Amino acid sequence: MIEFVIDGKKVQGEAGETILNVARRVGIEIPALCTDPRLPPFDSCGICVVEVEGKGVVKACSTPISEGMVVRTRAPAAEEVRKAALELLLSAHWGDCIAACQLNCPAHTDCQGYVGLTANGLYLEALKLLYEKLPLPATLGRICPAPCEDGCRRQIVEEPIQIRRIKRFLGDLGLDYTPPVGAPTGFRVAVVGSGPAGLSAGYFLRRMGHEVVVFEAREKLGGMLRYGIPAFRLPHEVLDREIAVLKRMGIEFRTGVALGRDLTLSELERDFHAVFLGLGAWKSRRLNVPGEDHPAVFPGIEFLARGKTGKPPELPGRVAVIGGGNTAIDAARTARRLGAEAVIVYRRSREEMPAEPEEILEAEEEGVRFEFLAQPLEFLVDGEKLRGVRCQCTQLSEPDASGRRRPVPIPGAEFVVPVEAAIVAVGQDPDFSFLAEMGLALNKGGTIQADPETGQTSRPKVFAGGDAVTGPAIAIEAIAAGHRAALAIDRYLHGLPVKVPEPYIHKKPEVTRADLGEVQEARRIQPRVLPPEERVKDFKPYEATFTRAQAEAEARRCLECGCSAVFTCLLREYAGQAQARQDRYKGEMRKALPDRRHPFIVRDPGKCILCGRCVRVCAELCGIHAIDFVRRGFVTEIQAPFNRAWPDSDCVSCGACVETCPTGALSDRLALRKFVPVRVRETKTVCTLCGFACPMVVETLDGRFLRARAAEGGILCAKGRYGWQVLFERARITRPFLRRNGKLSASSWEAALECVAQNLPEQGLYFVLDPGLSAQELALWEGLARELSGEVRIAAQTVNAGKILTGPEALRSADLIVRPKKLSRFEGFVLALHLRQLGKEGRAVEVLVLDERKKTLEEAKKRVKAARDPLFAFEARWAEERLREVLQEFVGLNPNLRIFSPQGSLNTQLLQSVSSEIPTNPEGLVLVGTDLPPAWKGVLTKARFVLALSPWPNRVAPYAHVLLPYSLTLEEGGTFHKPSGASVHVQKALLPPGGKGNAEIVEALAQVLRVPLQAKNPGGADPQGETKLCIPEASRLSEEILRRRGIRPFR
Amino acid sequence: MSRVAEVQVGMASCGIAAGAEPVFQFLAQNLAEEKVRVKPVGCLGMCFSEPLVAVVTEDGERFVYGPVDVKKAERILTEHVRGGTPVEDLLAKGDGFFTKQVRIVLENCGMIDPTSIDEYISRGGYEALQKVLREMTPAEVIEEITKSGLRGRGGAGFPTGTKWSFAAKEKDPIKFVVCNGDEGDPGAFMDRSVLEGDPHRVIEGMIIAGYAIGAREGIVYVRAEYPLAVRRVRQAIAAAEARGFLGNNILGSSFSFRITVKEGAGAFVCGEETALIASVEGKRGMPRRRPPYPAQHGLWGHPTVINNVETLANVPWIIRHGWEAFARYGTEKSKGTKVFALAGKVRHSGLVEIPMGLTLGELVLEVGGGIPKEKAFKAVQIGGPSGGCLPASLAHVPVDYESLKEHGAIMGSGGLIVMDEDTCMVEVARFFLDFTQKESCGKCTFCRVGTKRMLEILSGIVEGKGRPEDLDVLMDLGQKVKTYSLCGLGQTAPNPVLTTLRYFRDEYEAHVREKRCPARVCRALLTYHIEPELCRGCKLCTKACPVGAIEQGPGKFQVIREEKCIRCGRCREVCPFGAISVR
Repeated sequence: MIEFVIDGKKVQGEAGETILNVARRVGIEIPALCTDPRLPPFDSCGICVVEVEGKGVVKACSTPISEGMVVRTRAPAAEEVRKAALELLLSAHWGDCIAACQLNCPAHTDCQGYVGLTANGLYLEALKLLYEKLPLPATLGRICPAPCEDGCRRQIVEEPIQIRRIKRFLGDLGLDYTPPVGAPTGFRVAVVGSGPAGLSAGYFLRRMGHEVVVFEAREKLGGMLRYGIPAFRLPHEVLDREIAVLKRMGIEFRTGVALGRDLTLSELERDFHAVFLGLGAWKSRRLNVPGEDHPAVFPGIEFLARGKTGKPPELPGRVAVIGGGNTAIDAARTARRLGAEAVIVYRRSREEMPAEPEEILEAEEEGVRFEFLAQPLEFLVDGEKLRGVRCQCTQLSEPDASGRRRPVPIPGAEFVVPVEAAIVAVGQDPDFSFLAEMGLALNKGGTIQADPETGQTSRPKVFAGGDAVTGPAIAIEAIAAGHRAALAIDRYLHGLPVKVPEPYIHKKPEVTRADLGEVQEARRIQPRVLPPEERVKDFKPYEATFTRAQAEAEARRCLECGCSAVFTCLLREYAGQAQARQDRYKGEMRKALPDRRHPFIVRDPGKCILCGRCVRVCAELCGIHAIDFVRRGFVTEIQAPFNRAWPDSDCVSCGACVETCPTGALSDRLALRKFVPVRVRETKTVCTLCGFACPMVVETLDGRFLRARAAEGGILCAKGRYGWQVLFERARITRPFLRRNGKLSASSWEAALECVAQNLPEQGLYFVLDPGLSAQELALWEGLARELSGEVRIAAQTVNAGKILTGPEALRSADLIVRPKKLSRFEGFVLALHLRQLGKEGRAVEVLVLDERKKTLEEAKKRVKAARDPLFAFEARWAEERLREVLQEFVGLNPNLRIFSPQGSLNTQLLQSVSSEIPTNPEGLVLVGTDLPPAWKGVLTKARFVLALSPWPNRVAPYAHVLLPYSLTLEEGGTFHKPSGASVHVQKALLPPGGKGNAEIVEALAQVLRVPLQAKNPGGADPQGETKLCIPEASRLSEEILRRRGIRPFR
Repeated sequence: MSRVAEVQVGMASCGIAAGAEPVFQFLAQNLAEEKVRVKPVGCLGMCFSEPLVAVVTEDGERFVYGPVDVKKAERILTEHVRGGTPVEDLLAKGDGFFTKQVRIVLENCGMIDPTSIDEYISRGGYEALQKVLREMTPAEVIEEITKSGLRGRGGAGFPTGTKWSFAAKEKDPIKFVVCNGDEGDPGAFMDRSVLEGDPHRVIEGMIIAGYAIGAREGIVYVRAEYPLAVRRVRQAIAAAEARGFLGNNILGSSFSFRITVKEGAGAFVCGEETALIASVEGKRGMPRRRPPYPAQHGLWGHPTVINNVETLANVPWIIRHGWEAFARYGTEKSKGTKVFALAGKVRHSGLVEIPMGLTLGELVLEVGGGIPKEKAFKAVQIGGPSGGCLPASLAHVPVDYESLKEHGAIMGSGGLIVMDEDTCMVEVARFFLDFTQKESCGKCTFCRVGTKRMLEILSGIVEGKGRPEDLDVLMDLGQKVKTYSLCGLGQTAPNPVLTTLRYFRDEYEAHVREKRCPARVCRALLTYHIEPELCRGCKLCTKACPVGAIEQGPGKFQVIREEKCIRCGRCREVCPFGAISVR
């Protein structure tokens, strides 16, 4: 035993152990990328460096421990080397952690996530995801200038995705949804202002469980959203319904209460634990030219606000709108709707207009005219009336600080725009002199001084965000500021540091068309809009929300830029910890397009960091060696030999490479139309596709299957890893069917159950059960059969070879294992893994490989005779071909001989309480979860009534009178008992597709048939009616589909 | 004047490439009926004068002619071989080339017919083997080698006797001796010359090593790019087997040993011993971490001694002459001799063997004959592409492991490239790093990406895009690549950069600060200029310029428009008045 010190902590280890081993064991994290804990060190990535006193900076993965050594994992010298190694890796890493759309959104809305979920039809999940980053999706979906779309990579191909309109679609669908509220924290926060900033801060604070009171000076809620945006773009009803969502969450709103008039900051600070100021910028800027105070000259925001409160000013004839921003456009369009002719006077040209191009276009369609390069000098007043605007002609000079070209007057060039009214929409400013009086520090421009990351003001308890801090800006920026402040306030309330470091985000520096590879061109889908002449008639919204079909089709255009490993990537995590930069070492990157030739694995060489874990896991753990390093130097890559597609290599599709990959270089192709990098639910369960019952984690989204992967550092076979996926891709029976006039048609559960109650014969009733049912299900069905005096049969093929064991536990006590030479890539692969493991553990077990030669057969028989505890291990395919003959030669050679097959109960004898005998003249058949073996076919036509319960349409379905949806094991859960005596518990991971679980169905049947239901052995530890994990239909089906996709046997 | 007994023609790959084949044919045909024997021999070492013909008289006097073509061979034939008078004007001019050389490894090279085991035996071949089998225990053999002070000639200089003793200690009944002939350095040809010119010497060394450590099997790992060497080694193995030097119960002893040949596939990194093992095992040649050292856990997991060709070639000599004779040469810690492949801007490029401790200056200026064309000696790159670049000011440094290391270079396997004043040291560093970067196995982050980034910085500097801070990044990255790479390749790859930065920093500074290449090599940094007072307005330059960058100037003379100039130098070549200068 060696004793030494890591990070000041005394630890112990065995001689020969490395620093990394011991550190991991005692829970001290040392970052490492090339180390898979199941493998010896590879010593290549250079990340695991630590400082050892007297030795300097060394790699922890390959430095053996020694007595009294002093290790510092975070010594500055080590951190410096680690950071350099990370920065070198990052300098070559070609990928985006997060899609450009999301990064471009000020609120970092997960655009790719909700667009992807929409593409997959997972609307609720999409909506929930939206609500994680913002409230008011339906509102924003109408009015946001969509910076996300400016970032969208799809525009390199043709046009960006309609992200905003998809948001609107989801927002409209979810108007009745209420986001979850956290457990009460006991903290109270005051929010002043109910505009986007205030609503956002209030929403997120409430979500975190804080009590929130929103104070609004005006009569109604919504701030600029309500008063500054015309109804044809944002109807009151939409805003009201979205604010109602916040009310449902328990936010308290107090309107007509103004800070400075009714309240002071000190009072708020006294009564609340924190304060958020979300006051807007309401003061319209003035032109400061003569005639501006004429009553027919309206400040922009006031004009819009009057339009929204239902008291719009009367506009005679012609109106000039001064300005080029969104407010100017909105004002002009409002004026059109009030019957006026509108002309926008702007001192620069069209290209410089800050308004959204789409809205400029729509205004133009609606008859708004433009006078560019014109600057008002004076409003010409003729007595009571306004006569026009005298304008100075301008020309553009050099770009100014904002990048726009500055207008300069052309001396002597003037003209008059004849109008009867004018609207000045040249910007707004906040008016916060009262806050300064209350002791809050303001910026020079009159905005509130606040930290841009946290919103914290000069008074620590007071936070601010939105226009009040930045000056007039778009709503989503206010929403983002509200969110940031809410997070900061939450940390503040809990006494944590208000500022937190940002996580690392890797970006592709620039992307060209060639970097996108092959993309089928598809223009963006446009929503239905009213023609301009209809639009100007009233203030009704003129654009329709996307239909489901439109939304899904548009969402499918997404290029899926964000990384699949964004939540799990170790490179990203370590880069964040080290505060590494991707551009410290600039140079050639590992640009590459993803290789999608494998049916289940996507390889993205650009993200590969050459850690070699996949290569080593494949060769050293799986014993396959399907991939290796190729080429030399910087262009070294990991590939199947000769750049073959992986299925053409020795790959067995176990996916172990994907699971060990520390980055997004290897990923699973999921059972989804669009890949979505979102957090998933994980359920730890076991694979039930054979008797090995390998530990498995099922990832689900909204109750839907996403993928299965090995649990506990194990390895699954292709069936366990990808077989479930292909099974869940198959069309399922999701509702009951009834035979009417010879044809099956969909029906309700009530009707279907009633039909069963009416028609189920009392005599000659047989229950034919799939051998793959759980103990609970078997017990329930047996119980029902007993009550109805039916007989129970098991549907399975028979091999009379005595008791066949399943599961790895059966292998452990053997001293000799005889196995056939050829094994399948499925159970056979797992069998081989277990045998390798036994070998590694140094167990005194000899594995004899049996080929077809007579000599080896004779030798094997001799050895079996002599062995203490011989085991004959095989798996299905080989068994089907030769089992009968070969096995017969072994049976009886040694009384201790045990027979092992992961498929187990090929043998119906194992189900001792039931028989597999085929009835001759059944009246009624209840077929549970099974496709019958061919021998049963004749029986089906004889029965008067057939009730079939099946996960999917199968061979039995055409004979069924009533067809009910049946759940797979992962949707039901249950217990399985193995012949060895071991039990396996399957955790339910998914929702039953038909709405009713299997047990519920049996109970419902018992109810309509008016019989009591008592399960004899509801999953007890030692049931008499021993059931098995065996070849259920699902196992065979998944195998068939996988074979069709190119997964073939291996040596 | 005694009679001519033998005519030797240098027929190593280099000789053949230079045109030795027709010379040999000519001499062999014309001397077929005379008593003079014409024989092919290996490399004579005087590459600067290939093809070489040596005329040996009956009393052993040797006249080396070169370069020889068929016409000259005819004169040698008539005047010297038949007429008995040496042809003075055709003798190879290599004054001082052999004076300071000591030939142990190259003792037979260029003297004997490498295909003839008898010739090898006649010069004391396999005596050492007989001696160890009959008179020495394995422990005594190891002790002899240990005392001789022989160190690995492949690069790292690990004491050979110690390495053998580690393997000898292992209990494993299966052990291997591997001869590392994966000579991947560009410009190096020591191993090839030995394998081509005196293969039995290496075989004998391997058998002795096998006896010493208790191995029964040897593998010669040799580059497939050396087809002649492969052939010679195979022939030698067959001949040795036929004579009972290889096989079961060698020379009636209880010791059995076999040797096979494994051809490498051209990866530089396979010269690294753990990568070499992986390659022999059929895996990708990638180094692994040490320990465990191959001497404990090598090929297929068995104890394996891996020695370089030159190391093994020393062994028979040491056994025959005793460790004291060997240790007489060299310095305190570096005993014996070292073979170098002299190349670059040096008069006597070729294969030389010098006693350790000779200074760099002696090696370059005396053995190498100095720099041609009256240019100044600027630097040597010693130790192959990942060796170091030492300036002429270090000419006093003795050639031994420690001294070279102390100055930032390594002995390496013996590549030595001489540079004159026309060499840009930044470009040199870029050139060598380009090689090592491309040969990185790709495993270690620092080696794979670090050298790439260094290379990109160097390329930027020679292209005129360098910034002063680049030099700090190069130093910093270079140190990290050295320290945190797993194998010798990565640990030495930055050497050319770090040593040039150390000794020629001013050249780097000129590149990055003044955008000037002092050696006038880096094209992007050159400016061509016509001196008005020298220009006679002949317009030859204008006609020669491929891009039309030269125009009529304000006076009679021509001017070069710099923005158009592609710096090809054509104008300077054609100008009859030397009016075009380059800066």
